[in-house]
Amino acid sequence: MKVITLTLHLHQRFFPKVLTVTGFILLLFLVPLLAIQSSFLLQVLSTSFLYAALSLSWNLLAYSGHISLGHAAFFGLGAYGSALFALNFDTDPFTSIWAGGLAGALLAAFSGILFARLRGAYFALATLALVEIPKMIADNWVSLTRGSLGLLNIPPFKLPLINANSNLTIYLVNLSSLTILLLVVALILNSRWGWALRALRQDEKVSMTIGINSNFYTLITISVSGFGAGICGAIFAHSIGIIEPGMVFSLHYSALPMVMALFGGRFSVIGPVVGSLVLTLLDQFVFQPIFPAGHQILYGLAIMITILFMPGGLMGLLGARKHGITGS
Amino acid sequence: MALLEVDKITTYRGSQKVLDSVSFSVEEKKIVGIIGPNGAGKTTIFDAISGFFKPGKGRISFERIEITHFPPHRIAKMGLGRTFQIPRPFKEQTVFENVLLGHLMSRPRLMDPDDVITETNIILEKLELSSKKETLAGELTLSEQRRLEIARALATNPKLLLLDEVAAGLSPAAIDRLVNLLKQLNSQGMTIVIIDHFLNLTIQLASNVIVLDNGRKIAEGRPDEVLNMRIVRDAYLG
Repeated sequence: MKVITLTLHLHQRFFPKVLTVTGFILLLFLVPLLAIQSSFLLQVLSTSFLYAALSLSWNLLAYSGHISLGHAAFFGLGAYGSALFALNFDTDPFTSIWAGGLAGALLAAFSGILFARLRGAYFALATLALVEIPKMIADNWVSLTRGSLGLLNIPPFKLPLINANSNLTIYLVNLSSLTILLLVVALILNSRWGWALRALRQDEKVSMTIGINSNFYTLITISVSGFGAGICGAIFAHSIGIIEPGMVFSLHYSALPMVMALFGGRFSVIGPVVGSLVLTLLDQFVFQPIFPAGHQILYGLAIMITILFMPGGLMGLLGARKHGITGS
Repeated sequence: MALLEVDKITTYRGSQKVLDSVSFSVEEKKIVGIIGPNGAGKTTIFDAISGFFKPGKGRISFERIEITHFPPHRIAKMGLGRTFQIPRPFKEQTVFENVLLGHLMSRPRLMDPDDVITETNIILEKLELSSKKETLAGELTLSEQRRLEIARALATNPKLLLLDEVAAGLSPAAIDRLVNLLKQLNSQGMTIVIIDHFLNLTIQLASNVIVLDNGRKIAEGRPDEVLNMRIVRDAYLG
C-alpha cells in the first residue's frame, strides 16, 4: 500500500495508465466472443501473449542492466520440467506448470550465483553458453527425456465448458498468465525492488554506497525472471503437446524476447507487451503472406530500427521517460 | 570517542603498495581533512573505508565495530555516506528521485511516503536544489551535481560523511556557500572527512589534517601547523 502511495506521489498519470491497460486487457478477453470463428486470429493472438509474457520476464532482468542471451535455457527447462512432471506423476497441467516455473527459477538462481561477477557483454555471452547445458542433458539423458525423440502426449490444458486444447482454451490460458505476470512485474518495478534495479542499472558502485545490496537484488530478479520464462515454456509444452530439445532450447526463445522488449520499450513496464503484440501481428498478418520464406526478416528489421531511431522503443516514442517510472 | 578508526591499513594494486600502514582516527562531530599530492592514495582510503577495496593488512572500525570485510551496502546502512570525486548522479532520474533513492535504499523498511517526500524536500532545500527538483540529474551543472552528490549522501542519514574533492572546480562564491553548509551540518552533529587536494575547504573547516604522500601518512595536526611543515611543502611542490 505504501508503495502505491509513493508511486502516486511521483507519477501523476498513474491512474489513467492503469485504467487504459486494464481496459485493453478486458477487451482482449472479449475478443473470442466476437471472433470465435476466426481460429487463426485466436492462434496468432495466443502466440503473441506467450511471447509477451516471455519478453516481460526477460525485461525484468534487463531492467537491472543484465542483458540475457540465454532465456531459452529457462524456457526449455520449464517446458521439460512441466511435461515430465505431468507425464510421470499424472498431474493436471495447471499443477505441473508450477514445477516448470520452479525448474526455470532454480536454473536462473544457479546461473545468477555462477555469473555474479560478470557484467555487460561477459554476462550476455555466459548466458548464451548456458543454454547448451540443459540442452545437452535433455539430449542425452535418454531414459528420462527420450533424448532427441522428444516427449509426446503431453497432457493439454482443460477448462470447464470448453473443448480440451481448443484454440480458445490456449487463448484464455495465455492471456490469463500474461495478465498475472504483468501485474507481478508492475508491482515489482514500482516497489523499492524496482527502484533498486533502476539505480543498479545506472551505476552499481554508487548504488552500493546508498545501501543497495547488489548481489541480493540481482539474484532475486534473475530468479523471478527465470520463473516467468519457465512458466512460459511450460505453457508452450502443454499447448503443443510435443517437445524435443532443439525445439525449446532454441536461440529463437533467447533472441525473441530481447527483440520484442527492445522494440516495445525496455524502460517501460508495458513496453515488452506492446512490442510482442505489434511484432507478432505484423509478422503473421503482413510479412508472412508477402514473404512466406523470409518473414523472420521482420525481427532483424525491428531491432535495427529500434537501435538506430528509437532507443526507448515504441513506448519511448509515446513520451515515456527513458529511465523513469514509466508505464503502469 | 573515535567514530572511525583506521588502523595500519596496507593495500596493494598488483604488487605495488597503494597505501602503506596508514593509521588515523576521526573523533565524533569533528571535521578532518585528508590532503596530499595526486596519486598519494586519498581516494583509495575512501574506497577502503566504504568497502570497495579490501585492505591486504590492517583493520577499519566504525562505531567500534570492525567493518574491514563488510560489503559496501552494509557499511552504508551503518551510517557511512560518501560522495565521489567525479560526480556520479543517476543521470536519467530527476534530482528529486536521486535524493529519494538515497532515502529509500538506506532504511531497513519503507517509511511513510509522506515522511519520505517531506524529508527529501528538506534536504533539497538545504542544498539549494529545490528549483531543480524535476530536472534530470544528467543535465545539471558541475556545481549542482556536486551538491546533488552531497544531498544523496545526506538522504541516507549518515553519521559520518566522506566527501571526495567536493570543492574542486567550483567558483569562490560556490565554495563559500559550501563552507557554510558544511559548518552548519557539523554544528548539527555531523562528522565529516574531506579529501581536499587544493586545500579549498580544509583551512577553513578542518580541526585536524592528515597529509598523505606516496601511500604513507607523512604528517598530521592542526591545519596551520601542518601546512608550515617542511615535509608537507616538499611533498606538494615535489
